[in-house]
Amino acid sequence: MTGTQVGVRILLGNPLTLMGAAGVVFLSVVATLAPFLAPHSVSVHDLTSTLGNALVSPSWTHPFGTDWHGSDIFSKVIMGTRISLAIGLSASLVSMFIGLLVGVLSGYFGGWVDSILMRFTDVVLAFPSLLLTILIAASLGPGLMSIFLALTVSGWAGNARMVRSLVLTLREQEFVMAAVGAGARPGRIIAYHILPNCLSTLIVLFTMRVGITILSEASLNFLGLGAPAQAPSWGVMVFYGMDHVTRAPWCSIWPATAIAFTVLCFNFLGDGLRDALDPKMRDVL
Amino acid sequence: MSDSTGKSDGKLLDVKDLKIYYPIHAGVFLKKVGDVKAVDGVSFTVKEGETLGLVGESGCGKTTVGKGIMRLVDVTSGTIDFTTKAGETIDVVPLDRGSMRPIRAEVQMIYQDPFSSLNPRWSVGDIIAEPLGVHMPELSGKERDDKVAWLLEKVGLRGEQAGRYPHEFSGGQRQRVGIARALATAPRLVLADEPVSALDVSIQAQVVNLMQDLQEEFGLTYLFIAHDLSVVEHISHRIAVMYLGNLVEIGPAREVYSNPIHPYTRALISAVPLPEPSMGRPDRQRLVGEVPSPLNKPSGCPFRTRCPLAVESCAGDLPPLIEVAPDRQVACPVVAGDSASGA
Repeated sequence: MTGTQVGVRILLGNPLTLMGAAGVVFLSVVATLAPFLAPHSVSVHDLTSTLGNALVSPSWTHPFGTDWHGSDIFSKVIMGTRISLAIGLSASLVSMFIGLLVGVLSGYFGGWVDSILMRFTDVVLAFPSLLLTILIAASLGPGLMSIFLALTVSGWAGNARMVRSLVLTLREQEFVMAAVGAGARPGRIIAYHILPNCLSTLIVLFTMRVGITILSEASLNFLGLGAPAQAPSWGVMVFYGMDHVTRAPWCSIWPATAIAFTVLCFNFLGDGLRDALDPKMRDVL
Repeated sequence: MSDSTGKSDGKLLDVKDLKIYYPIHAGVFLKKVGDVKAVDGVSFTVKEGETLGLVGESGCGKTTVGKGIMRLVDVTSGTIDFTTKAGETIDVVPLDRGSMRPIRAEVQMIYQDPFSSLNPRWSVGDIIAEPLGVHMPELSGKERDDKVAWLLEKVGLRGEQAGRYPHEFSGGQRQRVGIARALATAPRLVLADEPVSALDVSIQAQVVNLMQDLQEEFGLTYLFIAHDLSVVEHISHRIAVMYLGNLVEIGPAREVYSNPIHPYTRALISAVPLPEPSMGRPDRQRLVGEVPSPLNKPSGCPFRTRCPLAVESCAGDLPPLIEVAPDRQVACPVVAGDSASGA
């Protein structure tokens, strides 16, 4: 049995991983087919026809109830999959990538490269991320692009710090020394020795970041820095729903459940991936 | 094993006045505030086919000497002349990474910790093949696999174990993998950095014997770095003793062991555990005090702060290695005179 086959078996053998993988596939399908799956329109132009339906409790026509505009929450949750997944994944991926690049360069090469990159990172970390976000939104105008940029710019620095400390410990390991002693080039050492050993931490970090990013996207939207208040974003829905939480708790509960479900799915999938990629776990089978 | 090999006097490695300082930076602007003098003017030669044992307690700089020869750390000053297969003598200190690469095929290292010296995410086959990939990229996949299997068998493992991962092996087996990796490019000089200190005593003997067998079979030259004198005595032809960044004594293994001259060597050898402790040891010497910090070394002889024989003049200049017998040098003017006059 090859390593890949064993890895696949670990991935499929764990029910939680399987659930996570299925959930991520499910969310992707929902996001792709959202306009066809949503039973009601969530367009702002239809407000006049739906205002009479404001804050209706869940029923057969509105399984998740309606919000204070009378929009169908079930449809909005379905449509919201798009925004949340798009922002959550893209901002996490890009900030992960930048953090990885900066952290590896800084940790591996040290010296003045490290000094310059880390001082820059410190500045970003020290700057209040909300202020940074407002600055970005103010210069670009509110919208999803601002949210994406803001979350990326404020997210990479923490990742860079984490990766750097990992690389610093790995660099002192004797197998890295052995590779240098064998005459391997730095690029090769980073690609084949450093990065594979960062993998498990990176996966956990990424799945955590997806969750954090989806929640931050929600809070930025709430401040009016992202999508308009009526946009089908889970974060917006949770926050605006809080105004009516005593009368109509469903306004917040369903989008919040969707956020929790998404974050859980990514975490389960991440845990499974981490195990499947670790040679040590292959014995357990 | 401690008698002369009878091979040619050809020096494979000639280290002269090697200094390796680690600068200490402090403050916001990382100003240099001092140096850790890990290796402070060490000179020795290693002849082709012999094993030179480099001993000393932890922190004396013996591992740093090995890393300096491998150019794994920056050398502050000195020369490291290595004689290549082609017969050229090259000083490796000024070489950059690219021109160092061909030398690396001929100088390989066995690392101290069999747990951290093997990448946990690589199969042992890939680990052993790594130097092959760097130095013999022309090998086909099949040739490389064959070579790996052959190397595994040479170190007492089985060829089909190439697909296994390091965590599936015991410490001794991992160290065998490390040895196979060091031998992959058919090196002439192997630096063994405490290769058995992390292993159980019973396994130590196996690994040391394996190294001796390999030396005979491939005509290897070893620089065997260790703190365990009994292991070193067993494998070495000559022994060099280090204290706080300097060599204090160098000579044929049997003579250094049976008749240590330098006060530090005497204390070190009298500290070797006896197989029969009840027999007692009349000349037991205990050292008092701590090893001084290499950041702030004593003037003159580095050992004078703990030396039972220290006199005032020891605080002057660093004592040079004095030849007291053929192939036998001691860095102590106080005792060297006695020995040379036959005391």
